[in-house]
Amino acid sequence: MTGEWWPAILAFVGAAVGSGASFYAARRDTQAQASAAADDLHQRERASAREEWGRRFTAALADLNSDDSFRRRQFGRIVLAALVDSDLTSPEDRQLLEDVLLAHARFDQEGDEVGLGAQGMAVDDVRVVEDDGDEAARGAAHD
Amino acid sequence: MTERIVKVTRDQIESAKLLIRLRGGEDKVDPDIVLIANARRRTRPNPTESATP
Repeated sequence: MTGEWWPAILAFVGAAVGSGASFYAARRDTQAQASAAADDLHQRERASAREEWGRRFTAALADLNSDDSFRRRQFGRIVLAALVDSDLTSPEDRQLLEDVLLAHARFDQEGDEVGLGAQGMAVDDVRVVEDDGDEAARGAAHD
Repeated sequence: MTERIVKVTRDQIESAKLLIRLRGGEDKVDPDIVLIANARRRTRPNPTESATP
């Protein structure tokens, strides 16, 4: 009697182990595929976001260099300030923006550099004022 | 001591301010950038005072 059950028990155990192993393999394969798909989706989303970031950065730089109005240039500055805080910004992008802003601060619209420390003059001896375009006030300010 | 007056535009002032913000403080930029960022409007003579003899 006992000997008659052994083949059935062994067959059952063998089938259970085989199906368990194939289930484990299939599950691992599915998880790997899902993980790869998630990684791929994340990379595509990041590439898309980076592309959109680049478009906005380019447009904001164009606004910053626009000859239209102060208002448009100021909007460009605001957008650039927001974009540069994004995690999509690379160190090279940040350095580029800093260099652009440095040139913007140092050069006026005619391309003349503000010579604050020129001619051996200490910067404490220089008073920097906003150019309001009022030439009549210049004489009064010098008096 | 003679004081030299240097005129800068609003664009230069705002760009200098943003540069200081991005760098993380006035001590992280050149002193001339700080001067540009802190440029003040000139005080204009009062037109009523100049009109009076």
